[in-house]
Amino acid sequence: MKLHWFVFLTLIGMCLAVGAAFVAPTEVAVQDGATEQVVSGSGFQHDRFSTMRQGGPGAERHATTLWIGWAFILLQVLFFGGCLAMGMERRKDGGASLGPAKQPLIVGTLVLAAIFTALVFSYQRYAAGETHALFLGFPRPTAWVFYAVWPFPVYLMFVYMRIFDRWFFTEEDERKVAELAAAQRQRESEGRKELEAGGGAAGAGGG
Amino acid sequence: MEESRNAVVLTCLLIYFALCIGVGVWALRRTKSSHDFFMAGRELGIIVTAFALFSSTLSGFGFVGGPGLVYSQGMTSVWMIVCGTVASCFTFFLVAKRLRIFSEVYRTVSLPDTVALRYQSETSRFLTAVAIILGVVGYLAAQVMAMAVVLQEILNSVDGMPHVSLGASMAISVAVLVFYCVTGGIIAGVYTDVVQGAVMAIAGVLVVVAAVNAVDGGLAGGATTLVNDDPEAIGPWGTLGIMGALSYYFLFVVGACGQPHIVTKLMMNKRIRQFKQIFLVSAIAGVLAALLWIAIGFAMRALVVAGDHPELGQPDDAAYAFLQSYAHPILAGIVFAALFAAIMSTADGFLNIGAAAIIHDIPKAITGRPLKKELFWARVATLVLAVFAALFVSLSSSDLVALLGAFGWGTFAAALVPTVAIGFNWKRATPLAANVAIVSGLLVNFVIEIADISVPHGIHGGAISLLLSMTLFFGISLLSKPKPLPPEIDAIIDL
Repeated sequence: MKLHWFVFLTLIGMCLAVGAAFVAPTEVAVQDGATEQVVSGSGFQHDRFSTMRQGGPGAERHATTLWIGWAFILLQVLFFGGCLAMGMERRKDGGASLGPAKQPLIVGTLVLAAIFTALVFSYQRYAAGETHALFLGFPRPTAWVFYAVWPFPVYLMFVYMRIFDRWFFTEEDERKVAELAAAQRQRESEGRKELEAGGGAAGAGGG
Repeated sequence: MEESRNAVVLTCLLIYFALCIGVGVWALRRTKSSHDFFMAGRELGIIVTAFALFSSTLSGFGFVGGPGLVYSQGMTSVWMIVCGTVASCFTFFLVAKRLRIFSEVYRTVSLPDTVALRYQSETSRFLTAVAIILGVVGYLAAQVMAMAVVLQEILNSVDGMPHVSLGASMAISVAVLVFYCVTGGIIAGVYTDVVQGAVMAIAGVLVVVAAVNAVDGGLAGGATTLVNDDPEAIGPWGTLGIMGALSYYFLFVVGACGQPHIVTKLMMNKRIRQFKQIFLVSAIAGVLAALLWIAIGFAMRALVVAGDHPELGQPDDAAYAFLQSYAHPILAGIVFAALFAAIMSTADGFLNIGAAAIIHDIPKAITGRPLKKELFWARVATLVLAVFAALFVSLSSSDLVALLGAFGWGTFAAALVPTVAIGFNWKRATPLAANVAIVSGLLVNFVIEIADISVPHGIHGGAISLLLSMTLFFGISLLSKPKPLPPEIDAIIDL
């Protein structure tokens, strides 16, 4: 499958996931002693502090949206992988190729998807109240965000640096850019001369 | 030193202002053409470009609104900042190289210039320029208001100082901003960004130490307090829930490479090969500065919930209250300077791209040629834009300013990401698709914001408009007949 079709399909998938969220229940019942209150599943005003919001019962409010959210983030990760691949794709010998970027990008996409999956399942246990134990100062699912989701893209940064010279922008590419720039200067100079001689409009160029 | 805290803070701020003015004077001598004014002569080094990139990303919203959002929503808004590392990958994998090649080959001076070349369409140039101007007005007004509010708070808290009005604070801060932007253009902008970026990164690290010390029991103590109060607030999705948090993640990862004040900086470095190092430096500095956003928000929420600090008047007071109550006076001074740095570094970028859109792109889209004496008109446009933003803030309701500020990121993301990030890497992308994506991005954002449409499950309206504009861009490109590209443009996309 061509990359642009892959990216387009992930976009369609994300539209469907967001569409599914639109029809999922948006309210949840909160039990406070003997009274029951129906509140927004996307948070409501804190019962003691008017400048804060609170989330309420995690398992109940995420009963449907947790799985929609899981699908949404997996599609996002696939979309990210596809887009990054579009940036890395080169046309060599008539065909499109990812060269040495292919394997690291596939690995990176799959690992990020696995991290988000672990986060969702860790949250499912947390929301059910099974465990509120801390890991390095945060509840476990939150620790996944700080210690895995946030730093993981450093891997992609190293991939970029590693393949930059031999694939992303080679010495040959640098030479080609210099040639294109020189040809453009030549066209601009000819255009100016024509203009000075009253011979018409200047050559193409945006600058 | 505690008793002279406010004087120390004011001194740090005055030193920072003096540095900005000094850079403006120095840059004046280096700005000899509109090319220097808008593109810094394409002579920037690794550190300058890297710091300019990340300090433009973290605006006043990051330093004031960010901690306030963590205080009020818990973890939800953290997704706006932990996405920074993936967002950098997007920017460097998709945008940096081709934008810089276009800029080198065609000596482009703005993003609309490059869009016009890629799509061979003056309509695309015009629409890109219009999207930039609309976003700039909103963003700039929000930055001007933030500068005025913070300066007024600082000036009025110094003993013996006569009362300073909001208007006077606005005049002082806008005067400093305008001085270095008019004299030195983007050269002054990016070199002040280096000072601003360094201050922000240092402040980010120091604030984490102060926050851990301020909360009883440190990080784990604060987390336990929050878990006992509301497990969801410190859970991974925060109070807004999973869809809200992940919509922030999508909007801020993908949206970063459509922010014109950020990506334009990628056209200014000396050599394309420098991107390897620029990527690394800007990402690391960005992570350090982001710590401030998270640490202050969590510390203040934990302190208030534990009863160790009175409830804040409003969430946006979180940073100010934390610095005044829990940070060493010198650290408070540095962070307030960093706050100004964050606001000004974003504002100067906006002034510059706004001026380019007004005096370069729109005239070129309409008449086919740029104005004569571009450098002179660039300075005039910068001044007029800043004054207009200040007047706009003074005459509008604060709700309107906040609304336009919030509108900015989503507008740029929805209107420009498909056109720039995807279109520069995909030959099949057509001018019609680019134009529809820009218009739909603007319209959907406007409708959601102005009609105050509440999207279910806290999904951000900007994420919806970005998703729609991207889908339309791909769909229309695949359905419409691609226009053959000139061989030079074709060659650039192949590189």
